[in-house]
Amino acid sequence: MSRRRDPVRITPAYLATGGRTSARRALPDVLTRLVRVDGRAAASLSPPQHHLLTAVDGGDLTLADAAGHLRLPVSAVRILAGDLLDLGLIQAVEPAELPDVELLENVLDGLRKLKKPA
Amino acid sequence: MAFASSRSRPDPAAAPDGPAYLPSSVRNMVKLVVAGGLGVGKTTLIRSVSETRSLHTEEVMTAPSSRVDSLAFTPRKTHTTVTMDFGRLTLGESGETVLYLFGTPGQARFRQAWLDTAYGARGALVLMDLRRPEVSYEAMDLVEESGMPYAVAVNDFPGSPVLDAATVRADLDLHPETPLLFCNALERESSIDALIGLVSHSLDVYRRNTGP
Ligand SMILES: Nc1nc2c(ncn2[C@@H]2O[C@H](COP(=O)(O)OP(=O)(O)OP(=O)(O)O)[C@@H](O)[C@H]2O)c(=O)[nH]1
Ligand SMILES: [Mg+2]
Repeated sequence: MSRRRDPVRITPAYLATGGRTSARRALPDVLTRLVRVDGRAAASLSPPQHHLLTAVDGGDLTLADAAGHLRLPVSAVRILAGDLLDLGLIQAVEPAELPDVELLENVLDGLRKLKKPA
Repeated sequence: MAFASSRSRPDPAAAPDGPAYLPSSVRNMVKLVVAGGLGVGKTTLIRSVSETRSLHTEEVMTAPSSRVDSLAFTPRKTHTTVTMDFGRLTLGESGETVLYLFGTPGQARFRQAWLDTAYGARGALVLMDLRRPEVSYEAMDLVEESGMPYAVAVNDFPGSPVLDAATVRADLDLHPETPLLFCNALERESSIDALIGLVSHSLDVYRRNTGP
């Protein structure tokens, strides 16, 4: 496994969020899916906000994957995503549609099939 | 940054170093945490089973540092980041369900970072190196405190003491229901078995709590 190529990091986390550090209650799960709202033009965004929006332009991303891509702490990306959410530029989608039991049944089934390919 | 101003949707496959986009087939993402002390094999296990592996960081405050700011003479809080790794595994033929594994040390002093990462996880696998079991105790404590279902997996390190399950259970003071598994994180099959052990247990717990 090769090391991931560096970096698209733009500013330190603190600067990226304009010094805000409070966590967004709306986006607690790092697997929250960020989805672009089509057709909404971006107003004047800060460079980090713009960078996140550009990433989500390309397809759906989890918060964790967005943080990995932007090389920013999840806590910072959570705040940036909250900004884009407030501006109506993205939507935040829950990680799972199914209830816990069905979800875990699917996972268990899927893992067992990995062991014994049909 | 070649794609910085592009509004079109590039093919993810065409940009191997680009963001790890979710395939449109994905409906359900499930998080499991792989916890344990330094060098117990978290990264190895995640690597053994995952299609992709990524990194993310969490910002933590190594709260009020003993260092005193020489100019202001005020105690400073030091911001630092901890790096965690995670992997992704697509399950089932339709590609609807994706399993995410988050490796996180689970150190008490990074408690908030642990809680942020673990939020929503359906279970934790606590890895154990029997040559130095104590390095995973903090992780076990955090996992227990969080209340999420967990299993303990003893990694097969060279020179590990050969102990029977009952002894290990007693040493770790495991609850009778907590699965004790043995695995080799270097091997994919063995790592998947450990995950199966954990998820079976999680399923039991969730079933009981949503019972009729
Ligand atoms: N023999 C054997 N070696 C293992 C096993 N798991 C991990 N190792 C080795 O142990 C070393 C540490 O493993 P890592 O996966 O880096 O451990 P980690 O928990 O991610 O460590 P940190 O991220 O530093 O906390 C590596 O050299 C692995 O190859 C195992 O099950 N058996
Ligand atoms: Mg590691």
